[in-house]
Amino acid sequence: MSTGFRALVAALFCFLLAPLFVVLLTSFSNDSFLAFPPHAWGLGGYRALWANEAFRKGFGVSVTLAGLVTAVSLGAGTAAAYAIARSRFPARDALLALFTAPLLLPGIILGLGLLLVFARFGLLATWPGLAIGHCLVTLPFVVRVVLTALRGIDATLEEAASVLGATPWRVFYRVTLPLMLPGMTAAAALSFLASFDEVVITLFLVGPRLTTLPIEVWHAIQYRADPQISALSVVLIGFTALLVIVVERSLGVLRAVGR
Amino acid sequence: MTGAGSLTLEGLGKSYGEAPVVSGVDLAIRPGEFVTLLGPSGCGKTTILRMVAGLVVPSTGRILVDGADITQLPTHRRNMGLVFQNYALFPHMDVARNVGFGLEMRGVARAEAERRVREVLDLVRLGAYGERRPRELSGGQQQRVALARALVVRPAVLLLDEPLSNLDAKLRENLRDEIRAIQERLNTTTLFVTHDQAEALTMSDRVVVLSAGRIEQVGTPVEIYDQPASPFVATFIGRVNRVDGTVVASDATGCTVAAPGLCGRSLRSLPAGARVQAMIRPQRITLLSGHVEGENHLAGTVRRVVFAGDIVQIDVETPAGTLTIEQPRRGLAAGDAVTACWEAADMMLFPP
Amino acid sequence: MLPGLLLLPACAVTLVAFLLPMGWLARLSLGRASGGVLLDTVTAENYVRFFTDSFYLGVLWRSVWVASSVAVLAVLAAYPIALFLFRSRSRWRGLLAVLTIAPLLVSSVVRTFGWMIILGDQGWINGALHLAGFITAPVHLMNNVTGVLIGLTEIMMPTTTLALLAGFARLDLTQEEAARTLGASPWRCFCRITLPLTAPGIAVAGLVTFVLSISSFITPSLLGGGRVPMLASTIYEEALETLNWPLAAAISLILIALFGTALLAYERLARRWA
Repeated sequence: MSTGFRALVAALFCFLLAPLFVVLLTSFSNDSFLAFPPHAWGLGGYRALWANEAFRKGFGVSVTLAGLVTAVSLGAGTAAAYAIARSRFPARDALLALFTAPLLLPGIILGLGLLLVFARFGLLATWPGLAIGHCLVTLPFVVRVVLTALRGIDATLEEAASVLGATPWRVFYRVTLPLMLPGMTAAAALSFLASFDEVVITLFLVGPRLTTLPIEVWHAIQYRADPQISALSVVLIGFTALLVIVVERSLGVLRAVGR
Repeated sequence: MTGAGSLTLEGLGKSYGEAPVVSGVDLAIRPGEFVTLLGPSGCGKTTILRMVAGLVVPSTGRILVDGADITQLPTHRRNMGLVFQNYALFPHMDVARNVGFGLEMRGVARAEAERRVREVLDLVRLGAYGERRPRELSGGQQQRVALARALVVRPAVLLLDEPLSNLDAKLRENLRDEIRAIQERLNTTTLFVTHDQAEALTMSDRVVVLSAGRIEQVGTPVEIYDQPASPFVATFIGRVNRVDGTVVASDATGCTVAAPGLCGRSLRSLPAGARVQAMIRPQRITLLSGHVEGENHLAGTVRRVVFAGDIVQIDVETPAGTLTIEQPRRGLAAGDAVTACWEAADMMLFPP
Repeated sequence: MLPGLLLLPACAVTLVAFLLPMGWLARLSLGRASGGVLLDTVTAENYVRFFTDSFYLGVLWRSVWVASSVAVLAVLAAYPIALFLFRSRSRWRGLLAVLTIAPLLVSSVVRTFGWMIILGDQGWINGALHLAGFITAPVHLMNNVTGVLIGLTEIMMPTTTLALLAGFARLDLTQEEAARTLGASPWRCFCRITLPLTAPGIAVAGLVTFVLSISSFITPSLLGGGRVPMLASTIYEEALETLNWPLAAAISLILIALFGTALLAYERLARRWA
């Protein structure tokens, strides 16, 4: 490969990573608003972030919500994936397509649909409403990832355990489940991430009483651009990186995404 | 349970929809006997094995162990040992835990279980490998662990599903002898599945030859080889030459067969006038120099000589077709005039 | 029986969160609301309004135009990266692959915020140009279509790269080597061998990018500053500001129709070249 080509690729990589880089840099600015070039450097952004009540509350809500949603999706999704992988029933493929369909539709439409239904049943800006809304997008992830992991498990291992005297429950508990664990870990991390970062659907589901961190950021961005938001963004990026490492270690990112 | 149960299959059959994969299988295996199911891929041998293990539900028939009908019994209650083609060792457990799994399922006390695991690992010469993981072992070692795992529970019947197919030739030969030696020592009733005739002939007390889901013949290796019951068995086991002819005379001791250039005598009686296929094994043919007249003598010309290490393969062109002869010595060349001759007992006759 | 039990929770979630809302949406698009209550009428007036009002038609046209442009730009930008990753044998390959996909995993709000810092009137580009003395008045790179195009292109690049890489599967390095031994210069090799063989990947990547861009909400809203109304932001406005839910529902279905057509084309292509 020629140097010209390499230079081009390098430039494109810079373009690709520019926003993340800029956010990282400006988080260390001590100005009261973001301008170029920054006049003062420091951790002022992070200190202000730490003191920001709304952001801290939003963070708490997002983390709790993501944990709740992950737990529910993991349970429901793993059960469904197991049923799809190990049983044969009519419309099995159609059902799988249905479970993963929400990932195909734009968030704006899913959000609107939820708004219409939840407004009717008074679920807007409530924990159950938010949880159900997020499960809509985390469940397909869990089903897909766990299904991939299950399909990678050799069926003869379960047969061997059965012949050796293990009842169906013990086969699941001693052989299938341990081998599924890496896939489930990856699914949990992806699910947590998806819920934590969820913005578009959440926009339709929140209210003054209950809101998540990405929504707080969304509102903040519209009105001002200050280092606090950059600092928050860096924290979010760090958080994401952590979860990605978990996925990579357990299953491998490319395998989890299905390529 | 000493591991020497009798296994009886009565009218066993399996169909998926309309197509029968296995039909009409009747077989009685004595305690301690080593029986091989032999046949080409798709002949149903693995299906039969899996029905015995309980992994496939039979469409018809019964399976009895020591006289008790186990056909409806679920897999985990059948007390059998199954060695898989791909070993199926649990990757998340070390060798000792793998081997001890069956004992754990049966609730054997820990100390006792550990003792038995050590014992069986010594038996397969892997005593020092208890702590290793399956992925650290070679193919041959994994296979021996799989064998140990199946044997440690003292199964009523030991089942082996083409356990040597994934190994290279030399390793296969060594493991073949080892498996047979262990089986004889423990006197475990064994059902072995393979498509490799060398394995079947060297290891078994009896061989069951299968084709398209049906039993073609059951017999000792010698019986299968020398007295094949059908053209399929004759061509599947070993190699044969085939000559088409007609029976000209027949009596109680045998019959005379006429083919181009050949007047043959066989010990099997078929009606006069019937068309037959005659089959003679390449190793049973002797080559004489020049053209010699006689019963079971067929004159011809050497067309090709191939040196194949252990044997020399000689193709001879005759009026009745091309014959292939195998002999240990060289000395002939293309173009030589020879006469192929064989014993009456070695000429197998079948309807066409 | 057991499979049914295992599938029950997932089915319940899918029913409540997906099927019910989508059904409701479809029904509402054909209805009329008064004071927040759905009347019993069935009417196509929302769709009629959309297709006869020049504002909404403008939104539709703008969305298609922006999405198409982004698809082209993103493919142009992602192609060299994808080709590099595909060919590279260096030990940095793994790291670079992760760097390419990593932005995907960061919230698009954060990424768009980064672009706001860069493109703003007082942002980095304007600041640098001003400092270097090239300009006196700020160049407007934000709150207009330009900003949306730049930002959306970068946002899409990781996905486009992945789609291209998937399509590169048919390209064999040895084919390029064969062409070189037969006398083709690098440029001709690219034009006659590489490009045609990667064409399926390009088509697929373009389609995927189009589909994702046309329904994009966050980036066009933030970088467009309300001056670049596209389908997604219009739906949002009608639903949460104007509170015209039936119209919002109708626009959603039109978006799905566009989306679905493109997805079908993608299916067709993917199958043909699988």
